[in-house]
Amino acid sequence: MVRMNSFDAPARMPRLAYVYHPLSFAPLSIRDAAAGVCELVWIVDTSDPDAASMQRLLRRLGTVIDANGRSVGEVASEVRTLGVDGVVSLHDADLVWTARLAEALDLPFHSVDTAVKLTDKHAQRSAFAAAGLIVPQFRVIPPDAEATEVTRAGTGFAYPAVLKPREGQSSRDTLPIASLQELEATVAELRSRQEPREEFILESFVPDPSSPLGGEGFAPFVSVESVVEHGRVTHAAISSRTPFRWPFRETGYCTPTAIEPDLQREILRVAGVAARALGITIGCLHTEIKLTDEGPVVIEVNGRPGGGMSEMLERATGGFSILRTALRLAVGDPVELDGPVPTDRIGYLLYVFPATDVEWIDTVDGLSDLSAVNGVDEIVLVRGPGQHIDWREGSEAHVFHMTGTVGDFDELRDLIASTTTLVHIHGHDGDEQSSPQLTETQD
Amino acid sequence: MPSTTDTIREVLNDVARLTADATTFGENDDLYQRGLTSHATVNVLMGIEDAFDIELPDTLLRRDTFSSIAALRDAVLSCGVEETA
Repeated sequence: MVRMNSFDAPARMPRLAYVYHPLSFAPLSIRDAAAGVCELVWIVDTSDPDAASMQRLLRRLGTVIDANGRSVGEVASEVRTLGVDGVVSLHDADLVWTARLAEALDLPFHSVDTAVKLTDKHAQRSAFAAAGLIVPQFRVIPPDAEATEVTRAGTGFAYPAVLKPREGQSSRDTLPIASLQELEATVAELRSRQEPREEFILESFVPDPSSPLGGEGFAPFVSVESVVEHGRVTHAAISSRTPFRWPFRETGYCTPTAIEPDLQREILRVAGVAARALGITIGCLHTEIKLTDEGPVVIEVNGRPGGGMSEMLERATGGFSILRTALRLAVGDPVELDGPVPTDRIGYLLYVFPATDVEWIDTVDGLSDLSAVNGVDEIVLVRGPGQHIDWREGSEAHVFHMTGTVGDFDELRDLIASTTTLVHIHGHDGDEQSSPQLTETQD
Repeated sequence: MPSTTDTIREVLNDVARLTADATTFGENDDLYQRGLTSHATVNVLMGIEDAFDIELPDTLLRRDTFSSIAALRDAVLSCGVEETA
């Protein structure tokens, strides 16, 4: 065999236990972000086949510890023998487990209580309310709720409302609810295709502002990437959001934002209050905020960088990596961020969807033409010909996404228009084999 | 004996979960636009290493290496594999 690999990390590099999940950052991105920062010890639960299939690569990038079937204490014992300096997870579903691991190792991470608040929407909203933030009315619908209990939860509620999983991301199964009757019917429909049943949150719809606070052509919605170091909250960036697709699917981000400076300051202030309300003392956060006439309303705080944000921010700023920042924080390397990172260009990440009724993709034409447009760095086809797609999956169920940078917001608006003038997506509903309807891109 | 490029196409068909038959792709077609994901990239890496009995160096473990059949062929040849037509 021809061997040309060499992984020789510097001897005194800090060592980081990275709790790996295949739905979070890719191993090679983590490897690149860790260069010069830390050695990696991968903690992998190989009961997940997608994680197990990564082991061979991960072993080339560091030490691998298998958490499959083992208690937190057992994993901690093995991690301890490796002299690890920090621990981190950047995946929502692993935050609580990782907080327990950090506690067992006496290493800085979110406390277990904070990790619960970062992943449980009900606990998070309660913390916001206690901190005096504007919080929409909300109620919990337990997984075992019978029809009468659903009716009781929805009676006297301030509609219109939004129904969403208590623990979920990317707008999966997030649905608008106009009335008690619609709530009853929707929960029944969701239950009919769920096993095991999920717990849901019913919350009042946060009203849109009376003027375009997000900027012309953008949603009244922003994301904030924050850095928390020794309890001090600073903010790396605000991202504007492109208009959502029905019902609440994210269609894209760009940074910097088109929002006027006074409102930006208020957004950052509110993001800081939210982080402190959850007791966060370390880590990178991705906070989603809706802009209203009454002021910015925090929709949720995520205890990790936003999906796709790291590359977008790196492009816009000419090198600032939020992923690298998260790793540095975890091993105690001083970051000392001093406010939003200056940008050279507008970085963007756009998701493109088929019509809502499309369940199977037939053709996707024009991606090569789109890739030739100025400002397009990369296009990734996610659901191609022959593949199933379902709007209920939320933002993950897009046909392709694209990233790059542009010089101004007009250029970005033109680029967004090109995703439908240059690219044509056809698909059909119903069975995989039949194609009773061909449907164009737009709803 | 299959050519280097044919072997790469076979690996892509076996493990890359692309949206079409890789034998129909041009050598410079962007594989990410053909449905290659970050996760599947690792499968391709392993498939290529097994098929050619090589181990790609860390310097080649980057996104560009997997962007096209031509880029994969260059990576394989850089590991000392002799090209077969």
